[in-house]
Amino acid sequence: MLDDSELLKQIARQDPAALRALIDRHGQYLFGVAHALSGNFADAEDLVQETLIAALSATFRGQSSLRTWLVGILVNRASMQRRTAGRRRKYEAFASLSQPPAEAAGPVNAKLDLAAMLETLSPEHRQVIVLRELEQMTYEQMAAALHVPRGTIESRLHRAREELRKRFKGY
Amino acid sequence: MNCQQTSRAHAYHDGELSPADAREFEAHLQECDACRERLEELRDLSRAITTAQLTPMPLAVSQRLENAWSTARDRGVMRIAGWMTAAAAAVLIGALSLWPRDGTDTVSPWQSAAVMPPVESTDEAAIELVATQWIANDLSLAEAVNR
Repeated sequence: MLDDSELLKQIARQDPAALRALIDRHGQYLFGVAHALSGNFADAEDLVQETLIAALSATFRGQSSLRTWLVGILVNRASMQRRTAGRRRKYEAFASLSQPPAEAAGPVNAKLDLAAMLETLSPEHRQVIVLRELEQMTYEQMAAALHVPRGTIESRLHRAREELRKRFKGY
Repeated sequence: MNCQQTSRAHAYHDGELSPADAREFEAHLQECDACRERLEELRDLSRAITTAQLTPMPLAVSQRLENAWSTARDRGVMRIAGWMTAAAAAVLIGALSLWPRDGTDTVSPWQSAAVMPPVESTDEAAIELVATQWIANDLSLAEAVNR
C-alpha cells in the first residue's frame, strides 16, 4: 500500500486509482469533519471537494500527517466559505437525495454525533475545537493555520469549551 | 468553584504550559478542588469529542468527488490545449506573412513601394522654376537693403 505522500505524487501524475485510494482513505473523515463544521451536506461536500482540489495544487511537506494537513486546508476553506442563498437552495434541492440512509448511519444512539455537538457553536469556535481536539494541533499550529494570533486561539478555545462544558456537563 | 487559575487548566490539559509552569500547576491541583474538577471536565469533554460519531459520507458524494477532480483536471488540460492552439495559430500567421510568393500572385502597390529604391525627379523645368524664384527673392531683398 502506498504511503500518503506517494499517493499524492501519483495523483499529481493524473492517476485516477490513486485519487480513489485517497478518497477511500480520508474522504469519510474529511466529510465528517466538514459536516461538523458546516452543519449541512451540501456545504460539507463542497468543502471536501475544494479541499482535495486545493491539496493537489499545494505542496505537502510532511510536517504533519496528511490527514492533519488536509483538515487544515478544509478548516481554512470553511472559514472562506460563504453561505450564499444559492448554496442553501442547492442543498434544499438535493438534501433528500444525499442524506445517508438510516441503516448506513451506524449506531447513532451509542455515541454523540459531532455535528450535533458543535451545532450551537460559532464557526470560529467549531474550527478550534476540530483542530485541537481531533487533530491535536498546538496553539501555534492553530494560529498559523487560521492566520490569527495565538491569544485569539486561546480565547476561542476557552469560550468554545466553556459552552460545550455547560451543554454536556455530566455526559 | 472560584479559582483564578482554572483558566490555566486549559493550557495544562493541552500540554501548552512550560515544564516549570506545569509542575507548579500540578502542585496547585493538589490543593484546589475547583481546578481538579475543571481539569476532569475538560478531559471528559475531549473524550466525548474524539469518540463522537462523524456523519458518514454518502456513496454518491464519493463518486461526485472523483468526477469533480476529473473535471478540474480536464479543464486544466483544455486550458493548456487552448493556449497551445493560440500559439500555433500565431506562428502560422507569422510564417505565412513572411513566406516568399511566386510570380502568379498579384503584388500590392505598398509592397512594391516598400522594396523600390528612391526615385529621383527628372522634371528639370520644375527645378528651374524654383531656382528662378529663389534668385528673384534674393534680388528683391538686396534692393530693399540698399534703399
